[in-house]
Amino acid sequence: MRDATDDGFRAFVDARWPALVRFAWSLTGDRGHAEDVVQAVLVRTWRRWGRIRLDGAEAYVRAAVVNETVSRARRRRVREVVLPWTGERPEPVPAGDAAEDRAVADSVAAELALLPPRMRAVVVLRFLEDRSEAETAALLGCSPGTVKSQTNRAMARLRDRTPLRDLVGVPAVDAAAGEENR
Amino acid sequence: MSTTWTPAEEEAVRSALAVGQEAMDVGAVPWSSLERRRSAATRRHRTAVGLGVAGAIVAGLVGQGLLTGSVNGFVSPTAGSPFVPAYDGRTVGSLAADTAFLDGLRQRIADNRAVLPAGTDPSVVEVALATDVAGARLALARMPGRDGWVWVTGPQGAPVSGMDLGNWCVGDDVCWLRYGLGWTSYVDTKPDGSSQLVGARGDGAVVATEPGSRVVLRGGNDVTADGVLRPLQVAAEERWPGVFVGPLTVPPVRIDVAVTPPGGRTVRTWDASGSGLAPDEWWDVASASASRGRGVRGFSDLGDVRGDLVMAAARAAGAATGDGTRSRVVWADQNADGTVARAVLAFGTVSGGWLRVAVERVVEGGGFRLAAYGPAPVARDGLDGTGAAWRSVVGTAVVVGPAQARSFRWVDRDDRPLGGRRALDGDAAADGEPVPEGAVAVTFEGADGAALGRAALVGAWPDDKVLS
Repeated sequence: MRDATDDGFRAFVDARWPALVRFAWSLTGDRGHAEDVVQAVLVRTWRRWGRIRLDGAEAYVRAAVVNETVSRARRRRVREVVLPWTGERPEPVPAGDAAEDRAVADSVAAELALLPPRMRAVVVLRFLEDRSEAETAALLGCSPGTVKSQTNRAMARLRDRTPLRDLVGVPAVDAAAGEENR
Repeated sequence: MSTTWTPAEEEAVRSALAVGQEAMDVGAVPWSSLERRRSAATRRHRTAVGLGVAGAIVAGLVGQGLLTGSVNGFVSPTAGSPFVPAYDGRTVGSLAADTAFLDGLRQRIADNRAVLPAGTDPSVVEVALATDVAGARLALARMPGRDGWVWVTGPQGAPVSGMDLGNWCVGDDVCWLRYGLGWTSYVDTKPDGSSQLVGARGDGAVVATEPGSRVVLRGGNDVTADGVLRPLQVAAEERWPGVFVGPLTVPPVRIDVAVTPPGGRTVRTWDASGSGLAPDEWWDVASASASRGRGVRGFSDLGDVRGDLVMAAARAAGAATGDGTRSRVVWADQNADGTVARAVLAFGTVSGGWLRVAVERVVEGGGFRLAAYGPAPVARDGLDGTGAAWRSVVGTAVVVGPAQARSFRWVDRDDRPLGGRRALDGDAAADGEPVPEGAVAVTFEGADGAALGRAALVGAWPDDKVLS
């Protein structure tokens, strides 16, 4: 039997489903995984819907999506298989500066998909969601210091492996430097 | 190199994520799937209730005179359960009488736009705990409109401005926090990119639950000097009613928490997301001398590869890792193109024994796969004088013998040799060995043919198992 609470939940999900799946995708880098995470969170939310303030529902669900994503990564704690970039590609690459921008974006997106889940979540929350270090820390259940160090590590990896280094004039890592350690 | 993100970098990252999001064609809400999952969840919940949870909860509800939901604007899980911190309106802890600190803390939380709207009266923030412990300053607070309690943490002795929101205690999970440098990483990043840890060193766990509960912390695994595996249990003292503190002398990767409320059933939880382990520093110390490590060859991507190997091994072992002084990089190697890195690592434990883990990182399909093999308690040094052999995820075997070993043989379950003697390299290791049908172990021999030990051939450690 459906009641008013049920209807409220259904209205919320109908309205916010695409945004939530896109958000989860940005955290996971995998569409199937993203939909599964959002479904799992929504099922739990459904049971608690009567206790959740409507004006805070989206924030509540997004926080739960972050937690679910990171928790699943923790549960896979020993072996971690990171899939290659699976995001749908947009239309054909245009010529000129736009093409270069698209190439940078593609390269960065591919590298983002390879970041460990927690590090990727930090990047998504800080730079896509525009959340502060403290907010990000609160969502991920860690300290701002951890957010800072994870952000720095992500930056180092992206600079090392993508054309981002060209944006800031950072020289590419000298392959010979690595060989010195061999 | 600057460690600050430039606006151009931020925009490039934002754009990369936004482009991918916008390109997604998200279909309709899968209501049938959601309804099916909801029904299944409801069945599971009812089953749990039928197993006896109901009695405890109902008794609690009757005693409390309430079910769940909003009380004075607060939304919280069922009161009177092991999942809910004790709070009678008064703050407990070593800072309970420090009204200036408490007022400042409430103001800091009220000013946090992430959790409260602008103009929130700080007096609505309730603080159940405010205390210093060795290695951290901790508070537990809640506020109207937010589900559950939130830990607020900073370095030991921190001013209000050094306190930040941390884990939330929401739903049916034990309200606890792992604190200390190893986990919370109080780091000051300087303009030149270097960083330093802030505050006194200390590590432990704090649990907020029903007063009079029994709380047991398990700080990973321990191995006795004669090679017997056992859990490393840590006593948690009830410092204030319902607030249990357990210091950890050697931060483990994994902490298990068991809470038994008075007259109730034990509830358990765990976390393996943090440790006192600094992988690069650990590696440097653990492989520092020739007598400790051998065959430690080139790692062109030191930070990531070494870090991945060490963390995967430490998690599989569930060991208290320490700073590497009692651990060893027994053997490590990386292939020429950097796509495969392997290591045998051994973690010295509190009681003198060792936990040995083989671990491997293989780049594949644009990502990488991490696998740990046969976490094993051993009594003597990293290899226990017996060596290690494992069947890699790429199908061949890696064999690492005692340092004096020069060859090995495959043997079957009756220890009958399978094929001839196989050579080991100067590091007493062999990589990429085909595994004969029926092989279950290897035996090692020295230059003079003397037997030097036997090691079982192990497979990848399952994802869903922990060593216990």
